[in-house]
Amino acid sequence: MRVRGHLVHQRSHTWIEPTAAMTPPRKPPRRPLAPWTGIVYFLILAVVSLTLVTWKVKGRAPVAAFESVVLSVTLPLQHSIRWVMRGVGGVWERYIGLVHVRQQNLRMQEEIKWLREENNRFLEAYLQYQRLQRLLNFKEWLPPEMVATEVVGRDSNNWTEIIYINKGTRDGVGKGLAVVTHEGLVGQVIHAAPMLSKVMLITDFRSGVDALVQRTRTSGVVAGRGRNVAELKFLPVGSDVQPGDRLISSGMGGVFPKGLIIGEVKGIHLNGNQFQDVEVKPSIDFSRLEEVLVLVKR
Amino acid sequence: MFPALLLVCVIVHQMNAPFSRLPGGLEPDLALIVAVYGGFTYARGAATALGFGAGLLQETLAGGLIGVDALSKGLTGLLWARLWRQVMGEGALVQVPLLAMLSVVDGVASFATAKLFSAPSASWGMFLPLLGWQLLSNLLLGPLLLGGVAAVHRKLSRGTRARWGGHEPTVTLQPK
Repeated sequence: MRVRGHLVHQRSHTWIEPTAAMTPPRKPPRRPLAPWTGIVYFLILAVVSLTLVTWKVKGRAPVAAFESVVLSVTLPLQHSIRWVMRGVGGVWERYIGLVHVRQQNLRMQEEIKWLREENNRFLEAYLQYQRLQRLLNFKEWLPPEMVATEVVGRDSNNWTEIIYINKGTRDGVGKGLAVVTHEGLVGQVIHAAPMLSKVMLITDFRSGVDALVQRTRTSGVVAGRGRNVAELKFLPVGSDVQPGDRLISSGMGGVFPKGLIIGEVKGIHLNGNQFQDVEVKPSIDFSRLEEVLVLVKR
Repeated sequence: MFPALLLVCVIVHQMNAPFSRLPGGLEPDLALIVAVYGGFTYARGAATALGFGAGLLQETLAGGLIGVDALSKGLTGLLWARLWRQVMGEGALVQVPLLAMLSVVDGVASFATAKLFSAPSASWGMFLPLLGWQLLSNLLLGPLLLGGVAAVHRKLSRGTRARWGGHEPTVTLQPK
């Protein structure tokens, strides 16, 4: 129904014709901005952004503090989301995902028998190693202290491979510490807020881990390629490496202890350079990570 | 209030990668979409601030250099989205080439600066598959998200308008 040129919705049988006093006040039309306003905005944007880049590159304190504040502020939000997702995931795992449990159970029982046998052999070898080490009077190697943490988030950026863990500086977690699971190397802490930390995975393109081919002890650098893939770099043409070879950390560089499993060789490509292109499949499926251990330095 | 809600969405998306849990594992750049939407909807200053904020939050959480994404997304809000809207219009599908262009520009800027300052051994050969994936994600999901954001904004504004007498966003992002 049209009244005084305006469309009026009839909500009930009896309605009141709107008057000027009842209609909401209209905002005055915006004045067009002066042409130099855009230039001013651009200059402010450029100066602030370049200042931030410079501070970050130089490792200035305000940027690190800002990162910590952002992480700390997001923590309660992240916990709530995690709680909801865990509830939804729990329903799935407890009821719908139990279809193949019987077959899985039988298969795992077989696997346990095999693993027990293998464990026994390794235990014997380890005891022998300890005896020999005492004989040779070597300093006993102490495993680093570990902090168990939960993965509370995963970065959605396609360029970077980051996870968030729920321990920070309050629990002794700090920048540069190695992060592992029982399956192998995960990555390293790149920023620690009091109760939340960021971990760069070994598949991030900025990551580099000095590695050894376990079988031949040939060394190279495992660098990330994103999307759960890594590559072994600087391996000279002619080096003995085969698909399926296991890669371990060499302990060089001081971040990752020696002997952590990184992954295995998936494919080798010769590209005409002095180095081979070696594709690496990480030992961990990073999309399913739930708990990790941070190796805290003594 | 709506820009603040968009920034919270950027944080939640950044830390949870919700789309990658779906089949296909595509993950669009929500900060870019927020910057584009800001450029379409708000005045210059607000659009620049929204793009800058979204980019800044994204790179703060992603753990790289800080300032590069903030600059590129701030510029998207200030300049690119506005120009595109004036020249090409505001239909959701018309935004596909804009999203493609901005995805490439953003990706190249981020990778080039990371290569310069933190990962000198990273190769452009490694970068191209990542760029392709980002492009695919943004092109397939970007228009849907843009349309979704516009729809939510309209819905919320209607409620606000009824209560406070505010105005409704002019951008619809409906396919023409």
